[in-house]
Amino acid sequence: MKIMRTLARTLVAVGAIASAGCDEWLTVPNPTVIDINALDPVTDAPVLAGSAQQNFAVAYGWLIMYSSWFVGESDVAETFPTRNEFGRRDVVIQNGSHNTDVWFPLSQAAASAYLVLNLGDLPEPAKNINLQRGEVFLGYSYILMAEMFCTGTVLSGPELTTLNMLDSAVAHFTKAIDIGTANGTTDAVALANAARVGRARAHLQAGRKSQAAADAASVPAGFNFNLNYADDLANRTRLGNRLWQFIADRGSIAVSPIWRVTDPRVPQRVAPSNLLPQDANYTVDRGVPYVIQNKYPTFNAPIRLASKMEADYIAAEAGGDATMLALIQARRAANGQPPYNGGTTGTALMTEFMTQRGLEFYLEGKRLGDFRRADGAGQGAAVIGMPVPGSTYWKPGFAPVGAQKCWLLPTPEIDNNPNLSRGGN
Amino acid sequence: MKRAALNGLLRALAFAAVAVALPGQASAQERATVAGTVTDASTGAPIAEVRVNIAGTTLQGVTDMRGAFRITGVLPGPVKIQARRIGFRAADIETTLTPGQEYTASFKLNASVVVLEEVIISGTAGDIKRRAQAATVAEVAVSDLNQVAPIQSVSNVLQSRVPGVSVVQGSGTSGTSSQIRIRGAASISLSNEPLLVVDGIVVARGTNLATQSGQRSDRMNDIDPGDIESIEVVKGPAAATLYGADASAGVISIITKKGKVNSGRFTQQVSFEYNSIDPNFTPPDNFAFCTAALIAPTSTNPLCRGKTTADLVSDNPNVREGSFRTGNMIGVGWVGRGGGQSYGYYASINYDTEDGTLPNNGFDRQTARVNFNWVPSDKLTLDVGFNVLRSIADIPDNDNNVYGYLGGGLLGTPLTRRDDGVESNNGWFGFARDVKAIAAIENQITTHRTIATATANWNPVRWLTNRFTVGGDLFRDEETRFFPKNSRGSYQGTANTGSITELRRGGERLTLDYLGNIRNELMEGKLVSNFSFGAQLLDSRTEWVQGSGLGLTVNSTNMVSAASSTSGAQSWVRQRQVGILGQWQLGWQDQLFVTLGARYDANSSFGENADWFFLPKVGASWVVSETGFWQNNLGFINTMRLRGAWGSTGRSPTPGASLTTLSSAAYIVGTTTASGAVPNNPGNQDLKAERGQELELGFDAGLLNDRIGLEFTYFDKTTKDLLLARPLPPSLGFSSNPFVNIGEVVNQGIEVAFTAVPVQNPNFSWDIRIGANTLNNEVTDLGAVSPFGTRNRITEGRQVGAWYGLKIRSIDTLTNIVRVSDTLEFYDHILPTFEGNISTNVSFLKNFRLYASMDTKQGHSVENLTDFFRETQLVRSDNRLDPTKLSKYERLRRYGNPTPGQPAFLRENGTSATVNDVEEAYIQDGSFYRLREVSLTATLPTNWASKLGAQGGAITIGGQNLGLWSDYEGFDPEVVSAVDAAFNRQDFLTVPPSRRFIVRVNLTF
Repeated sequence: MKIMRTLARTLVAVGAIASAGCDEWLTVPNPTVIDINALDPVTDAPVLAGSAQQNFAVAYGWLIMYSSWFVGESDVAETFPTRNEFGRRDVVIQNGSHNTDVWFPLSQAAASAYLVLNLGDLPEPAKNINLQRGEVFLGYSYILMAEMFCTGTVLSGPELTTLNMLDSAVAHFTKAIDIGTANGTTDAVALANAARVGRARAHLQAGRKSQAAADAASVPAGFNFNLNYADDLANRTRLGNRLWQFIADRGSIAVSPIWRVTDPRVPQRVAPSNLLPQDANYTVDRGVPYVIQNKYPTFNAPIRLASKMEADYIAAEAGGDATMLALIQARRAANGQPPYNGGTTGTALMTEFMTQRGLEFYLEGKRLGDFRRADGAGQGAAVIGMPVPGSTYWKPGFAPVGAQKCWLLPTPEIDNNPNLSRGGN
Repeated sequence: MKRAALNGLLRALAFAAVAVALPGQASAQERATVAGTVTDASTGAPIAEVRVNIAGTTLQGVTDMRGAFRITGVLPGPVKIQARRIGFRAADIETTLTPGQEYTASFKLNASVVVLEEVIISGTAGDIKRRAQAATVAEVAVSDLNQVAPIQSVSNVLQSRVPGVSVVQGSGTSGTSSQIRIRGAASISLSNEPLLVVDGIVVARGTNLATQSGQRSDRMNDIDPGDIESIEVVKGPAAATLYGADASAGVISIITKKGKVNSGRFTQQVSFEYNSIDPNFTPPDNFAFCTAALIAPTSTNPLCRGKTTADLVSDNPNVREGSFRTGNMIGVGWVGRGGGQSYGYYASINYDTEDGTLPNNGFDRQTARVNFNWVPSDKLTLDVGFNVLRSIADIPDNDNNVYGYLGGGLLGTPLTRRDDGVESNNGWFGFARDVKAIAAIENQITTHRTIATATANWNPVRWLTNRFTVGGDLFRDEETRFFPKNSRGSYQGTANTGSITELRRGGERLTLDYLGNIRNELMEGKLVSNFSFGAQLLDSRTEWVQGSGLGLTVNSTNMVSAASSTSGAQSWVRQRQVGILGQWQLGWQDQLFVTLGARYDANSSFGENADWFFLPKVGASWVVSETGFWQNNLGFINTMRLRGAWGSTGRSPTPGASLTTLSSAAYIVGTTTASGAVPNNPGNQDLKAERGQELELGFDAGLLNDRIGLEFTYFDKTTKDLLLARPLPPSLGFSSNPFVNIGEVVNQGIEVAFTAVPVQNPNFSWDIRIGANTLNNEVTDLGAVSPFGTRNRITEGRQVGAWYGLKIRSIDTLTNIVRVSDTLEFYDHILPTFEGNISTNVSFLKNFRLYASMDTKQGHSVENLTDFFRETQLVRSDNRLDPTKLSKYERLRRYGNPTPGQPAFLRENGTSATVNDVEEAYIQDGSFYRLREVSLTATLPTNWASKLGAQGGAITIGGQNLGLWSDYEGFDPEVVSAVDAAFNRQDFLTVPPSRRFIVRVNLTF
């Protein structure tokens, strides 16, 4: 027994030594991820702000693509059932693509913008361009959420109504404008003008036409703000133009027949033999050739986010029939179309206005907001090309087209957000 | 300071390792020799592979094919000579040796299906007999099995041979992985694959081929079953405590063949094997109704031309173009084994080359192993093993993959057939993506692997044993994925310009392990104390570098550097673990054993706030049949051991899981691209290992002089502090979910193994083994986490990942209305609730052995996503298109209400649901019975063998996967389209298991 006692003591001693030494031995690096403690809030603020902008650019591409299917700008030329639900206006909350490709990227864009805004202690906050960048892209995240989703939420917060989201967008755009004005650099001014367009868009969507018109008028002529993309093989899903990626890599997007018009604003072409639809039966089922958009013909094609052109459309819509008609005629003339000679009021005018707007901003993620705004005013039919509820989906075997007007929050959000009371199951 | 302390510990271990190499040596003249033979008591036949040892020393020998053994260097004096072999009752001879004596010991062993004297190596602190092991450690004698059954892989060895071990062969693609579960699935977010140990060191397990989509290669295929002596399966926490905080899913411990110390002989065995591999299935046809354009006389569609639009036409691209072929495998092996005075050696070289049933599927494996064991004295043994391997797996895309043969063939439509020579889909899913195009895609993984082990057993005095183990598993993978440049446009988008991805993965698993044991005989030898103690360090690292290139000039220069666009990626992961353990066992009269043990673990993946991990265990084993009471009253049950154990072990989180992290991600502002970051994981500084606790109760019984054996075990395994990747609301913006320790999963069941040798005589013997187990797997607590998952749902009261969906309430064939539940409801289990197997050996006419095995899995469902997709998404199946094939009721059940303008399914609350919500018809009963193996082995008569210059030989012919009985509507209920998934029984365009016919010849020289 003496031996055992001695041995036990030895073991305890060895164990103590070992446990002390092991703490260091057990500390291993993890170079595959960035420990948040390795970032300096001040010096790395541009990195986080630039990342927030890119997160929005990523989400923007996804949202344009999915909403284009939903509003009938394009056909789902692929086989994924979850994506075809968008083409059928019948997106169930369990739809995995809805969560992964739509809701999550938008949420990450908003959350990473908030990460920048919550850094704290940034120098000269009243004119700090990093904060301004965060405000601008948070504002646009709110706008897209408000236009496309029936309700929203950010950072696991409470459920937001459409008006809540639009008001939040207005608030963040206002801060962005203030910071940009104080900063005065070229970049800050451009961001401020993008915020002005965004605020006008939010006001218009909320039905505040005079404020929308005022903001639209403050946008300088010729203003254009693009989100840039890059042809980088290693970062195609993050830096590449999504609309081109889903044509080049997957064959998912066809110009829907109603948008196959001769208009320089909707460039398109019959797909060459190396760019074919993933759904081999597209041509047979749809009865038309596979035509792809040519607005974004490369991975590095930029996508317009805000422009004086949009401000003009906002101002015209806010101004009423006369200003709408004037803009219609101007845009038709500029794009080789004969003058508009249809009805000058009501649904007829609104249909033409929305059609011109649809041509102008084809595949820019505005059409669903247009539909909801028009529908809210009882003029939903003015937004032509929407898949018709109850009609037969053009692909055999699928259920008829649904009647959704916006997207519900997906199951993972409903299940896991403690501020949403509906619960999963 | 801490580093100095650790260095001190390591130096002490190194010193001890050197010290064992310098034991005192007695002069050779004083020693005696023990030699003799071991034969079967009933048949008189010599028994090979019997371990004969001198009790209390490290001296031992192994019998050769003539049953002979020889042990030299035995200290004179009283000795106990022990003979042990699986399948026979142990025998001892006690004698007293004189200096220089050559003692002849002849053992006649009785066959026994209940073996309590067998020495267990795995999960014990020091080798102990089975009778003292409180928790079940199952053993498969692979070297014996290899004599009668056609074995190709480790998972093949475990398939339906050990109750509680469930092996699912993922597919029929050669070189791919299997899914192994021991006593159910305990983890929700981490792998449920058991820990893999070879000769005492932890080796890499898992699947590879990261660049490809579909089936994976498997590191378990790296190990040649011909080199394996036995496999011990440590089933759960009760036995696995000594493997620490990563063993809650069980341990598969492989013990390789050793040399034959003191045999003074050298034997060689040469083996040849040929397999014919039959695909064993025919892909179904694709159907479609002709369109108006295609029926015209000028139509280029040969199927529709001249038909009417009401005509249903069919096509089968895979059959038409001959995608599948009869594969084959050729294996050649050489084994040299022997030993001299104080040393033994085992060496092997094996070469297998297999062409799978698909054009670009193959698996080649070359292995070499050298095991050397040296007994410099009766106090010391040194075992060194060195295994090198090179394998090449060519694994085509398949499963959920548009480049797969089944994805391409089963999702194509007859309407795209053309006979005018113009490039088209021509019945396939992808444009110009026919057999030629699919076969041209190259997915290859070449693995170079070295497993080196060294073990020293040092018994400086009779009461103290020490075992040092050090070893490493070093591997390097070369993965290639290549899409050839082509003008046909066979692949999607830019891949047609030529795409090459090269991935190089390197890794290591290093083990340093010490176990000591102090044996004390108390109360005049009636009470024996064994106190064991030890420490273990594990260091694992895996890294990879990947380069991709797009745009090749010519296909022969398919290098990343030759591409017009290139990119790179890299990963580096390290994990370290340290454990200190102790165990105390008291044995009373070699009948009753009580064991207390504990292990203390820390892991680099634990959070900063997590303490070391304490893993206790307690157990008892009582050979009650050796008590006087039993022998006087219940002697007809000649062996009865009662056992019970409780233990705890764990499952470590993944490296870095405790940290709050961001991921590197580039951004563009203006036209400048810069490196940025996106939110990745909020982390959890309190993170610790999952804790598996298991209670195990059972008995081992032997009747009719141990000709009938029955093992019964009840297990109740509870995994607490589940490492659950708690789903976050996406609105938080994190890309991945943080691990939290929360919730509980229970796995309960019984395991029964029945073994009988009804007949045994020199001309005819017959044995039969029946194994069965039940499984009740249930999530019992999810803490504050809401149920999550859609088709595979995690919810309290059900199996982990049980099948869920909207459930059909009623089907009205008059109105076509199909009502379904409002919310997700339980469909069925995903894990079998019952598994059983039966195998038998019949030996006849002295030289022939017939082996057959059959197994079943019951009580679970498989998602037939292939049929779902072909019937409801891309409509290609005649089930859907031919209205006469299914009843109206069944059509409504599968496809819902066909009335235009009405929803397919109607929830009880009046809202609509789609076929994607209601998949009940495709969650199909996965129960089956399978005739797994049949083989006939003929031992060559000696005079025949001698004509070949051999001492002996055997020829085996056999077959695998010879029959399947199941109601499952897909190809095979045993496929898994995503083997890597924590829980997945999805059949989605997966090649079903093939059928093999095997011829094998073994010659011994």
